Amino acid sequence: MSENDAEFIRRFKNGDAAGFADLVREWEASVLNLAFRMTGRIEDAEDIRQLSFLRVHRGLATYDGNAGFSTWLHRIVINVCRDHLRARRADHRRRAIVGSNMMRSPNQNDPRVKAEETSSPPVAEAVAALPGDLREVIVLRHYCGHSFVQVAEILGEPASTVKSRALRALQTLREALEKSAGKESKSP
Amino acid sequence: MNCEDVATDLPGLLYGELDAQARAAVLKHMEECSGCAAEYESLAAVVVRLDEWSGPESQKASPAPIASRAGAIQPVTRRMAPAVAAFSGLAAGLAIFLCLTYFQADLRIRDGEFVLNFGRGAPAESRVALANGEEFMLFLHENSTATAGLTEEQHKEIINEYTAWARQLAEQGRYTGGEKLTDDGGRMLVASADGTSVAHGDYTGNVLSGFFRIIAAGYDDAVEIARTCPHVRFGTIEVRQLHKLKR
Repeated sequence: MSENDAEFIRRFKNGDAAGFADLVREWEASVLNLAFRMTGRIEDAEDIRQLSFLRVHRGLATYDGNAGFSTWLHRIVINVCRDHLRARRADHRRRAIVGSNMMRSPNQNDPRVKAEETSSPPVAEAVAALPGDLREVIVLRHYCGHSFVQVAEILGEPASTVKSRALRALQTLREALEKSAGKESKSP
Repeated sequence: MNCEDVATDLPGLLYGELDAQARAAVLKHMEECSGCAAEYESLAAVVVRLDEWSGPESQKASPAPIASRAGAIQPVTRRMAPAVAAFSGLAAGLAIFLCLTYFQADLRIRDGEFVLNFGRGAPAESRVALANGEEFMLFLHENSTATAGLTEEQHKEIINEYTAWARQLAEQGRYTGGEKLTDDGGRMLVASADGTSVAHGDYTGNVLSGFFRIIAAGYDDAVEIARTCPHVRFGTIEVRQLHKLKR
């Protein structure tokens, strides 16, 4: 844990609310990045950022510093992301069953959102299409810069499992990108 | 070491996490096993392609940081100036292509030489014997407001330029790494009579934003390479030769 983080946490635990604000300021970009890579949508990532820091606020009193702060924080974010994605999938299923445009959220009719989605590079779509457990490993290792050992600690899995998932993730991404390139070359 | 062992070590190799002994063992196996070598090269290309996806800062303008929205919160440290924040889009983009350290994993031993490859499709003969070249650092400096006001489209165009430049350099076997530095002044450690003091670095005006590590025949060659880097349009490039101390 950095000296800064330790100081922010110490102040917060001593009743200084500004200590928490400083901690948020220090880490919010990192949290947003992780959430964005996991969900692929900036609006979702911003919601997850808020929820994550709420959980951090609640949990900080019992944080003992045994795990590195970034490890502890990103574990929380990953859990919030899982909840969010689970809810999103359930929502999609519900909409599919109802089959009505009335169930669409306002955002879905927002052309800005559509533009964002359609302008995603193939690699973003390929990452989004990965199974959740593989996506978590790639996002934490590649886009958040954790070592495989840290990723294992965040996910609570053995490092060997994490590396195995990383290999499968990269192989799956390779196939997806090859398919995507094939489609592009066929399109007029 | 067999192919199964190599597969286990591939993620570590791709992300530079293998120790020297394990790395050497994997590379030795791949010298003799074209299947594992091809697998590695194609996955290295995927790792490179992952950087085509820029971060959330390249998306629509985000609301004010939540720490600011909380109100009445005074920062204890000086944060990014607004102009620097505006610059973050480009900076994030540059990060994509400056963070090409993965290519270090492409260092291969072939015919007794170290060979640098750039993923799939790299010319098989694009190699530089490290023994015959010197390593140089290109330190990238720029004014923190140099690219403020550029549109997202302009940022993308610049990113594409960096891509092409880095790829070309790697294909020539002249690239050994690079990183984007975070958009802050970091920390400055200063020795004093009372011990070592630590202060927040300054991130205004001319700032160090990243670096490349390249191979060149000498300073003239390194300067010629640096001249072709898109960064010359946005700032200055300091070219320094690495002094390899004997240990």
